[in-house]
Amino acid sequence: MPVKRRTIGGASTRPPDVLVRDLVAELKGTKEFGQPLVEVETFERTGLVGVTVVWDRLEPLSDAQRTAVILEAFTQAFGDPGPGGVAFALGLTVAEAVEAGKIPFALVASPRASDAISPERVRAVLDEFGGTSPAAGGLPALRFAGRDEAEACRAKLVEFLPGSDAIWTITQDVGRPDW
Amino acid sequence: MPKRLPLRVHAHTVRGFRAAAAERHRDAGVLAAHGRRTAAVYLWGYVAEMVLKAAYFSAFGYRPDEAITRADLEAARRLAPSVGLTWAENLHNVHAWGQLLVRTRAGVPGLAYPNPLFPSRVAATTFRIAQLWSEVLRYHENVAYTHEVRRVADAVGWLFDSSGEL
Repeated sequence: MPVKRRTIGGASTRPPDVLVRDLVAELKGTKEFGQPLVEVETFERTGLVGVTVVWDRLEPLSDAQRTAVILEAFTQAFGDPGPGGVAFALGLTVAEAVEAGKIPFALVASPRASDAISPERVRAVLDEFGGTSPAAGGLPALRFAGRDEAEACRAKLVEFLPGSDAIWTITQDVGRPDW
Repeated sequence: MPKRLPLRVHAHTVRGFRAAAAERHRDAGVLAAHGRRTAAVYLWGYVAEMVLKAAYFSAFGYRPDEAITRADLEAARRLAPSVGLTWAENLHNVHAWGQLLVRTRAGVPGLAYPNPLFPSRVAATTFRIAQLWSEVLRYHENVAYTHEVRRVADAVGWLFDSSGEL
């Protein structure tokens, strides 16, 4: 009887090259809004940095792979931080970051039929700005850690889509009740 | 006359949290093996919480039998903003404890982990547990899916087995 051998589900944490390459480009870029949202926090007393990357393209990867992608991209973009340079590297999708409370502010669009700007145009702009479509459908939303960033993005969107002032709303998530 | 169970409990301590985590870990395994899935998840969440609290207070110099009071727990939460952490929920927030541990170690000279892989995994694992666990599960009749039980068991099992390195 022929014997077929194959290996299933290797636990490799080797970072996918294409994601590393694209993340390096993003880390070196100057994009103001959209994904990936990279947060680099420096701990003053130790000089260590914590890196959090919010990026929907990390979704298919395991947590270990996400960490490997971020560490590799960070090293390629900024040089070897040396031992103890990076304290932790965490990768989340936008939905996960929302759940973790990291990006509680949302910039949402509510175009009306009477608006001169079509929902399709709004969707295209939101996609360009890195919006994430809600699971329940509807227009993508943009997410931010702080209200200031959301306000700045709204100003940029109005610049981009003149006359769209009234369609943008900033909302903030509230925590779960603890009873 | 022997003391009743609630009167036999002692103050929270690092040693007590670790011992209770081991007990509840075993209980959760028995529940899961007998199909009591939500109850298993419910107990495993507390295992994670106790392992993290023990690690946090141990790292910051609490002796094994030194009392950890409610005020100490609140004080730990109040330190969260100083390490860049927004702690919006109550003291059962497993992901917040995980992050507080990782971030405080990163911020205090001499306490950092030797390489970033382990703390990254701690942060990610506590997030995965928090996605599937809440202390309010006890009030609801919902039954955990088997894949949810497996994911919580794996995540908490790793955290428990890593207690010595936390």
